[in-house]
Amino acid sequence: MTSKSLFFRRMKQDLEQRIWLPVIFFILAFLFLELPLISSIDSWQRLENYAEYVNTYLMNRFFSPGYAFTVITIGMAAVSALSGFTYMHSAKKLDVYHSLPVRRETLFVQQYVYGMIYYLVPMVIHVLLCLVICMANGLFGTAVLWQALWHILVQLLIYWSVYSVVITAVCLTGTLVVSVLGSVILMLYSLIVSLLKMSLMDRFFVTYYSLGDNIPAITPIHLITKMIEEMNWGDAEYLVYTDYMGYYVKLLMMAVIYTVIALLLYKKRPSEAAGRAIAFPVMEPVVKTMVVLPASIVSGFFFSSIFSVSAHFSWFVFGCVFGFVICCPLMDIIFQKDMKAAFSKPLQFVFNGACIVGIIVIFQFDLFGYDTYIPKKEKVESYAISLNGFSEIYLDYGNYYNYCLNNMEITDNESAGKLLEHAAEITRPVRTGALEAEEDGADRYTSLLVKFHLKNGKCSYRNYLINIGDTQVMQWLGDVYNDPEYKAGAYPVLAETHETDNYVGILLDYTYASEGIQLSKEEMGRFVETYREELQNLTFDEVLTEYPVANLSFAKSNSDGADALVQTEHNGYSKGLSFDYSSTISGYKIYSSFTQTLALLKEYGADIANEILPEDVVSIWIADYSQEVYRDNIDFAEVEYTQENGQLTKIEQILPCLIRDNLNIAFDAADKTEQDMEVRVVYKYDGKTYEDYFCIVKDRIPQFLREDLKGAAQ
Amino acid sequence: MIVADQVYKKFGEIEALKDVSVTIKKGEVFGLIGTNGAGKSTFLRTACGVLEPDKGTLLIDDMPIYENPEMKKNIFYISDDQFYLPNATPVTMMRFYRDYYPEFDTERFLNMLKKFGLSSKRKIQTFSKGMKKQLSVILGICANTRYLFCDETFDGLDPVMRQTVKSIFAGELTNRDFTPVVASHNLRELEDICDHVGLLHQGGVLMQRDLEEMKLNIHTVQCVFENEELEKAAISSLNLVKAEKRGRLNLLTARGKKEEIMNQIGTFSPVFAEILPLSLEEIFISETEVVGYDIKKLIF
Repeated sequence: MTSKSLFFRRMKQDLEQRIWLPVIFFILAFLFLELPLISSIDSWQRLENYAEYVNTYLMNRFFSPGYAFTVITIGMAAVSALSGFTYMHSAKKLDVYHSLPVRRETLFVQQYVYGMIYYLVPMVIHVLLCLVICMANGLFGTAVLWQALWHILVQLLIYWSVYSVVITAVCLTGTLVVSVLGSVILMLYSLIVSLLKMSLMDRFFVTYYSLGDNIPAITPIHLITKMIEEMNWGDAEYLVYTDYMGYYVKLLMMAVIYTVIALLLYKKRPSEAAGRAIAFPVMEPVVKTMVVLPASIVSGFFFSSIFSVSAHFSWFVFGCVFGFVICCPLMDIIFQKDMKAAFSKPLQFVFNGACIVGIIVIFQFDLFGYDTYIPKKEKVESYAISLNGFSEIYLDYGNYYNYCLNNMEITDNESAGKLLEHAAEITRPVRTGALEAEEDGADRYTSLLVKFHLKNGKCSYRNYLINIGDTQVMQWLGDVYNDPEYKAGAYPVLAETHETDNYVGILLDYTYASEGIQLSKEEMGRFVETYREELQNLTFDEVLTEYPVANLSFAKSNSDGADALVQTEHNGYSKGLSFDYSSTISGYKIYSSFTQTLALLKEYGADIANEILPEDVVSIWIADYSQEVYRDNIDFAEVEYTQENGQLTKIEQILPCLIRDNLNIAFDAADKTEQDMEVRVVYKYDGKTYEDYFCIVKDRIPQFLREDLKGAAQ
Repeated sequence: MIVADQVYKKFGEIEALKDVSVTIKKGEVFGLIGTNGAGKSTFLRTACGVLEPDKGTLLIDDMPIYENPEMKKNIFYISDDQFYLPNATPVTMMRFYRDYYPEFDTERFLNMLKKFGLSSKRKIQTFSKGMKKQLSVILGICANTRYLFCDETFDGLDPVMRQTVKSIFAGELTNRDFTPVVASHNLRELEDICDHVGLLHQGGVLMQRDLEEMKLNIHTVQCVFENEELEKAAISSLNLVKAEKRGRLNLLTARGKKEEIMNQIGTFSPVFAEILPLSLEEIFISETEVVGYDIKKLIF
């Protein structure tokens, strides 16, 4: 055992050799900590609410594991590990170190701890300096102190995990180049496998859908990336470190496990391994397979991406074979350091080749029946269904379809089961390319995202195609839509757990105006309750046949506590208040059948029925771009009706046919509004003149308009 | 005492040590001779605990050495290309080794540096190859370990320096418990230093002999006889290792003490007979030829 004094004397000697390491980190940390902090304080100092700005910056961004500083931490960990342990790659150095009267584990621990100290000490100094800067500017508080301490801890965990993984790679290898490659593999492997798995499934399975990668993050970069991503996506007012304890535990476990592995490898590693590619020859076939398989598949994707779509699969296969034939012998050459060793391991060559073939065959022919998978009813706990182009809500953060899949639990709906069985059936011809739409255009396909929540706790996701031109399918869809469990998962406002406490107002977007209204808590409560009730009673048929009279958005308090509603000047279309759109949940529809909701809105001052009066319209200009009018010398036909020309009657008839394009109805908006026509209305409001563009509803187009357009085309 | 028993070490497909058995007694300067790749360095690296034998045992003072720090305190290993810390000076290296070798004699180290004309504060990377080797020997001596393993350490040292080292070794042997083991591919360079020599070839020990004993028991006689009958009789009476004839002059290498050989030749009334000095190299040539090897192919 070495004494404490020996530990520090050795550290002094090591520091003399590696002083550049903490110095570089010291400089980088200054550039990424003190400098931006001083710069931010300086630039915001003149602002009225400067303290609030800087505080938010400190709590949310500065003392948080952003990508830039984390990259520095990862880089420092890798460089520190490599510089501290690459002496194992030199027989000359090992002759000295391993002949010394000291146990190998003692040498390991000494060197290991030095690498940790070289990061930790500068880090602590810099964070303390930052806190001093905060204190000097009157920004110091307990919350900031805790955030700073958490920042150190999380960065240290990141450093520790990467550091121990790179040391493991160094122990496993015998040269610097192979160590670097090994480190990259050990740091990224699960992320690479995850991305490849997702790419393969996306490429080969027509029903593939995933909420994200589901390969366990057992390599540090994978885990760190996930953690930072999640931290950055959080909707909390500021970063709450304690919300991510699971990640810290995983990072800690990873650091400890890899440290133990590295120590064992260090002890077991023979001194003569210096200079070999892989220190333990028994690992060579494993490492080879771990590298060759992903590399061959990446090569397959590369080739299939640069050549024609029609021959994708052929090029994919060629790419895999090409990658394999290059990579497998290359690994042998690297391992043996001999060009002649390229095909020296025929059995391994055959094994890896068979694995590649196996992967291609499994995915190409869907040997495990991924695409046709439908769990038995008795095994399903619940379904979640999200239909593309139907009842889409725009959340303040996150993906709506995933929201549905995560929150919907349809437990007892026979039509849902039939619909999904039908969808799985369609998958077979889709896979083979045999699915053809009927010539009369009756078949219309859209995608249907499904989550099977199984009784064993597992979840499966699929992305099916369904034919919404099929009346039976529409009937099943109707049964699903009318199921309260569907609506509870599809409309956040109907979810039992949905919180409306931070709702401060609503925005109504109807044909002739966009209007923001601030509501008190009590008013909001009444409104939400009324809207919920009517939305709950809305039927599938009504959705298909009725036109919504308004889009409804809920405005939430901002993350900094300020209201999302901002007073703006009336500019014609917009009335009342406008919004900070990052804090709204939009996409809800109000139908004419929502009488109580409309009445309540009127009570709150929003009269949706208050349309533009024909007398206020200066002109209506309509252009028809359809094929019927398109000829050599004409691109479109146009007509204009103006008050000035005494065409008020025509204006009166046209106005009810117009609808704002964002009030489209589910699925077939394109079919119900005239896509080839453009309508511009110039009107007067409050003494000013405005112009707006609209869609025109197909089955409401007046006959005179059709004739006028026909005449204009001639 | 160092006792290697059937020590076997393999690097991949290469058998670096093939059942090496050798005994190195305390207090003798042991020379390990062999061509490049004979296994000298592997043996020394195994003996100092850098390598672990695949098979067999290597005991130093009856204790295994691999991962045995207590025993390693008694051993200092100087490799053929000694590693010095980057930018280190002799003093830096002294501090480095002093931390691990409790008996390290700092004062003596500084004195020896002066004696050898090496600057204590000059960066080692600016030293010549010979100076680096001198420094490594000084460090090894001053570590005050019982065993000093030198791998090709004297190759390249000039004869004066070799004599200096020899006298240092002699002093150490007199004053303390000290056993240096010196490996070299050059027999001439070991001749001045070693008492005992082991010949390694292709991973195995061919022979192990005491140098003085070897020198005392084999001699070359230069002699001329009156006629061929007497000549044949004289040659056949000797325990002959080798015989050469240049004109009438016979060069006879025979086993036996000097006096015994001269007496034996004297009985055949030679016209002229005298003992010629035999170098270690010549002794080895003779010895190994007897056991069926052409030493010139093995060493020189």
